[in-house]
Amino acid sequence: MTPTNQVWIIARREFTERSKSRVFRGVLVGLSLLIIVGIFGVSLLVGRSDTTSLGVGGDSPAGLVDEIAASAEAMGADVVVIEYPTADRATQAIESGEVEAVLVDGHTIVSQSGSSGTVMSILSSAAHVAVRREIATALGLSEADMVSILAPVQIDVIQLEPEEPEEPNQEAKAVASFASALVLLTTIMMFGQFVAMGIVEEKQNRIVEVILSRAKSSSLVVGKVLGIGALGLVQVGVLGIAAVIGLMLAPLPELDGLDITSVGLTAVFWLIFWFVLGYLLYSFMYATVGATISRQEDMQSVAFIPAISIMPAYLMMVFSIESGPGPWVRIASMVPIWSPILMPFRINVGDAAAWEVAVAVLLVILTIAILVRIGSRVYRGAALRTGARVSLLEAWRSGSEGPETS
Amino acid sequence: MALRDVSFDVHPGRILGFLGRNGAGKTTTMRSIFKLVQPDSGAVTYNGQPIDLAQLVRFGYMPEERGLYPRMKVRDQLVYLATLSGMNTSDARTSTDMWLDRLGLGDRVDAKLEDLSHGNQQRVQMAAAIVHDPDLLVLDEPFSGLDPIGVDSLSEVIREFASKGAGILFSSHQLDLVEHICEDVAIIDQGEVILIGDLNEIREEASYRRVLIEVDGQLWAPPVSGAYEVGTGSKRHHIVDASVDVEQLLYLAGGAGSITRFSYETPALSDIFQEAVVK
Repeated sequence: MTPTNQVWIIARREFTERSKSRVFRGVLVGLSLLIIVGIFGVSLLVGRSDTTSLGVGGDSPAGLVDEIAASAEAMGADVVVIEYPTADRATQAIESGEVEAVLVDGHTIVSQSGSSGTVMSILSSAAHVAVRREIATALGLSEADMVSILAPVQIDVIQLEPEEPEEPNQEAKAVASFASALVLLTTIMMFGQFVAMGIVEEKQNRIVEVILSRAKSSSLVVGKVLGIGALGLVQVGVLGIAAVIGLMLAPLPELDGLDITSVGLTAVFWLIFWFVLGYLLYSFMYATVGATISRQEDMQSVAFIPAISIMPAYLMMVFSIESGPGPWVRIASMVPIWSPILMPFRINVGDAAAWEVAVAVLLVILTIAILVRIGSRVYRGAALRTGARVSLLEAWRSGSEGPETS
Repeated sequence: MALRDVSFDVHPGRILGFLGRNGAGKTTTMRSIFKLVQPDSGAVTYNGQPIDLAQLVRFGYMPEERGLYPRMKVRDQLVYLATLSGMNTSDARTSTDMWLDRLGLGDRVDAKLEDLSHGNQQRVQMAAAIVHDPDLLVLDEPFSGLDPIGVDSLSEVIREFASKGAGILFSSHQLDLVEHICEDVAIIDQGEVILIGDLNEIREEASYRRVLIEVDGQLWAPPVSGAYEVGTGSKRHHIVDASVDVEQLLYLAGGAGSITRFSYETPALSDIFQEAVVK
């Protein structure tokens, strides 16, 4: 029997016993469905609001409806044109909300209140073309002449100080980074708290003495963290897959260059990567503080320590979502306790250089290694101390291994 | 509890009763075997070697503070503890089912611990200490909370392990039980072992004997020097010097009337315990 075998056995028990919980399974299935349905629903709403209904009424020039459709296509808008027999009926259609604006008698645009610029230019350019076509026909011009007169003039625009072209995926990236930061924060804290609760539970049930009589305290702590972490990984993975399925199923509006599925997949990859690091870091912190208490009622008095450690990272991210990561966020993202939230955010918005990611990952791993040692020692010092809360320092002192422990 | 001079041996195949008043240091001593407390100096050895993990998992421990996972199935947790002690899964299952069967829990293997009665939980706790077939059993107050049938079946299990060559160390306040089961005793007082050895030898070597003589139905005080009365009610008897001759006692009693009861014994464990710790 080696400590590694024992870590594995302990981790397996944590995973299987907790995965049997109906609450865990129910929440997982419920959240997955919620994500798929949510993405589907949002994309339907987005898709529908893109279609604009326009109307024509009264004495319209010939071919007006076709011109409106052609003009809308040229402007990249999706419109439906409804023909009304009289000008009055067309005006009523606006009042009833059936259409957004109507073109009456080929020369008057009627709308409820100010319509969008796009709608105005679609209707007015269609009206211009239709009226000119009538004039050209009356003048007896040939079809070919007409096409060349009416063809849109190609105008080149030269800007002396061009604006940065907006990256098409920018908005999707901001949404993905906010969503994944939220998932990271909640799952890291949730599963970290499970570790603390598991440790307290074992002290409260007194089984800890039975276990520690046959396994090292560090094996118990590490095994527990790994087992619960595997469960967290399952949850994050399943939710991530649900999000990708939702993105693939959803009838997303096809905007140029926007590949929402690949943005989503990349975000899910980094989500899982940083969940593993962030969870390990915080779960050992939770294990350390959990070891100092013996009753679940005392949990709040220690669980705030990891919570206030991670919170600044989340706040910094929220405040820089609009403006993008500033210098402070860049520095903070290299601080190990904040990297798991801020680094994936910077990666998702395309701000992090590869070396910065590498250094942050190394620092986080180093911190985890230190926290494992602190956590195991504090746990050894406090595991059999029941009753009142033990101070961290006291637990640390009494957790030193004796001279001849092998 | 601080320990000062706690030295004793547990021998293979023998049962050592570990006695002492509350707070004398019994639990601390037992915990130090499992490295649950670290002694500042001194060593716990097994076959002369320091105890490493491979050896530690061959020990079975029943802590004074009982505890198991309340919401885990009985069989699952015993299999878990057995594998944690180095058994492979199939041996662990076989051993678990065998012990649960023997302890009368064969039909409750899939019940959660918290759904069992207190007595049955105690039986599972006992199984947790022995399911991995240990070489050394350390039982801290194993009989407390057991009904007479539980006491009998635990005594039987302890004897069985001893007959297989396992060493057994157990603490108890129930001196009559210890006297019944143990071959060796160790008495600890204020963190110090004050008496250790083979129980029968200790009794033989005692400087006094307990006698209970009734003449004409009345307790009779032996007219020998140094004899005195102890106990109350039905437990009243006399203590005489070990050098007093039994036949002479019998002769004297016969001269006093008709002997209705005569017993002459080495001191009971309770006498030895009283003498050792009260002083």
